[in-house]
Amino acid sequence: MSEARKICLLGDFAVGKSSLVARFVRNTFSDKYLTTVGVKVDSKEVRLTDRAVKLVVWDLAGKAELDSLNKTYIRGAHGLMLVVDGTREASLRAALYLWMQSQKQLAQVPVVLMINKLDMIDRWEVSSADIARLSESVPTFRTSALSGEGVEAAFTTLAQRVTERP
Amino acid sequence: MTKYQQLRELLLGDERRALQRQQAQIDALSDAHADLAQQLPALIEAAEQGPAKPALHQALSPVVAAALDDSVRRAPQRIVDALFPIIGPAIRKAIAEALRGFVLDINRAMEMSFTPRGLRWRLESWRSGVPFAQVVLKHTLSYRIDHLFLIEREAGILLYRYSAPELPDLDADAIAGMLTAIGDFVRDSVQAPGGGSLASATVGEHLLLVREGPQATLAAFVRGVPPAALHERLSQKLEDLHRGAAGVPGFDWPIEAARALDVTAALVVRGEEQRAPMPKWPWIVLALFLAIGFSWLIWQRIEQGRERAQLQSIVAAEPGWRLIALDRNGVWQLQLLRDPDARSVAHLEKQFGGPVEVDEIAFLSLDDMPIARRAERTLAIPATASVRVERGVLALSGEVDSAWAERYLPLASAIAGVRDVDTRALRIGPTARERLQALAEELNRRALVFPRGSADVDADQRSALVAEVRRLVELAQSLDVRIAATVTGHSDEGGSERRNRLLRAERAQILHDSLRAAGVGADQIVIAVDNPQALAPKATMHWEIR
Ligand SMILES: Nc1nc2c(ncn2[C@@H]2O[C@H](COP(=O)(O)OP(=O)(O)O)[C@@H](O)[C@H]2O)c(=O)[nH]1
Ligand SMILES: [Mg+2]
Repeated sequence: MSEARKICLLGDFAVGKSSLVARFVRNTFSDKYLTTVGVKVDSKEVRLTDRAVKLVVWDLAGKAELDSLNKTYIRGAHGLMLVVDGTREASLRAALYLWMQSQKQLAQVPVVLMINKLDMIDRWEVSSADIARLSESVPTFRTSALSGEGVEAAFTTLAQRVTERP
Repeated sequence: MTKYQQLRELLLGDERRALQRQQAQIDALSDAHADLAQQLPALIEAAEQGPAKPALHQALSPVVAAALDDSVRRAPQRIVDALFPIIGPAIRKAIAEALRGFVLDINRAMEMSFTPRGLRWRLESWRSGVPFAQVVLKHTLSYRIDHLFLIEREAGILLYRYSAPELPDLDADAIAGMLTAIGDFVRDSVQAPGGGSLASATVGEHLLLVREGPQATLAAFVRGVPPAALHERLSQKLEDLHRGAAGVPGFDWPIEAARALDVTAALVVRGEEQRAPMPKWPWIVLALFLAIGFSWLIWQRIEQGRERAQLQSIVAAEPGWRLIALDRNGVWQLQLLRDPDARSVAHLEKQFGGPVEVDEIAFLSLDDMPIARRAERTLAIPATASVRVERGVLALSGEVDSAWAERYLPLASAIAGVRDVDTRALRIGPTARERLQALAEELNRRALVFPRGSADVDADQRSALVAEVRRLVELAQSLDVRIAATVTGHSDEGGSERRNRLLRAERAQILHDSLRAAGVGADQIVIAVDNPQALAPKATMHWEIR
């Protein structure tokens, strides 16, 4: 049994978290859990150069804020995937705000930032300058759940980071 | 500068704009305050979405409860109507479930009743004080743990997993995560401090059992019907693991769990016990017993019916008896009306040929036989006469004397049950006393006649007289009447006076002797002194009755 790591996807409503998970993992559960329970858990084994790691991906129902239930959901997470909709600037702030909120719950865990909807780059509001500044602090990927571009790379990077930690 | 501070910088640029927006919102809010009522629904909705949700719930719940209370009291039918479609199916389902369980239990208990194993379990039940049905369940319930997950409590990461070998693979990690999430969700929804967690659920054909510990959760997907003991065993295992982990820094949960939750042990698989085919003979014996029992009951029924009819017909045939009640209580018990002049109940037992208990009540019967007896008794019917009653008509026949007739005949028609008296066949004769008198007078006219000048009497004449006197004596004796005779001898004119006197004495003596021979006592006979009354060769007597 490979090591398992819990990853939580954080991001504003409709940024494409569920779509990214669907693109990345094998879907075990129906999306209806997102509306009823507020979370949907899937898993995917990621092969790294020296090892395999099982990513258990928690897709939290999109909210600009962490409520008490979401706070329990992120407990014990080994890594965070922040998702931003490139076409909505506000979603960047939401993602960062969510991250900030999660800091109270989690010790400093590895974070990867996804700027999603790369296929609609012509309508992006998030500027390249901002992305450049962000990527200095956080591994940042331009992704598209539609085309799949960048998705694998982002998750693999996070997998790498979460297994590096003791 | 840390990464985090850099990011705050990034955020700060927006803060002024945010403040301005908020100011505008505040202004708008105070404007809106005026028509708060219109906005109340929207506000509540908003509160429901935001962080004030718990407070809103707390504030509203007493109001809602009171309103609900009120409407239940005022319009209960509406509530009933609203709940009807939910309650009906729920009740039906519950009943069906209960019945299914019940039938299963009964079947098992029946199957197990006659086998040696069944007897062994009976012994176990008797020894342990556990009801037999439960012992049977304990031994026969089959269940299997298809999946067993040990899940790290906080992150929901799978620590250990067992799945039954032949089952299709499943995403255990995702399931573990989801179970954790759902557990959190349930706890968050129930909001019960300290308690309220998901302990079991039904998932398709599986029963999901969840045991939570401080660090790890044990979840078992069970197929079949597990005994209550399984819950305890799971809890036990989990507690053991926690005890092992306590104070051990490098406690390797996956390895320890694999050791503790020994999957091949009884914890996980409990195969269906081999069930020997149920032997047929107990059923045959049972059926035989039942058949014998039934036949006996039926025979009993028939026999009792026969006896009842027999008793009824005996009583019906007996004049002066009436049956009021007939019951069987181990022995036949009768309640009987009986005329005291009818036959005694000893007759019933003799006729029936078995013991009976009779409770008799006296009454006057209008049956002919008891009327006849009553008449015999009341009228002191003499041996010379007899009575017969036919449909209430009392017929007297035979011979009675006038004294009886005078005394008793008037009573006859007053006897209970007598409609009419028929005396046509009754002869009413003189009384005994009258006959005695007549006989005495007759004898007074009679005489012993001798040949002239002789005191010899022929034997026929004498014995005829003796016979007649004897009748008189007997009649007097029967009436207890004292009689006495004076005897006189006579002579005719011829011959000497001396010779005649001698003849008279001799003739009187012969009559005297004849009377003595007829049984008349010596003291009852007086020979008259020589006092010739008639001039004839004879001896006469004169009877007196006192
Ligand atoms: N064009 C485009 N649309 C996307 C992409 N990812 C998500 N969407 C769309 O954005 C909407 C919201 O996606 P969803 O995954 O539900 O967002 P979530 O709320 O963050 O889970 C959906 O209509 C998706 O089809 C993407 O990469 N490109
Ligand atoms: Mg979603």
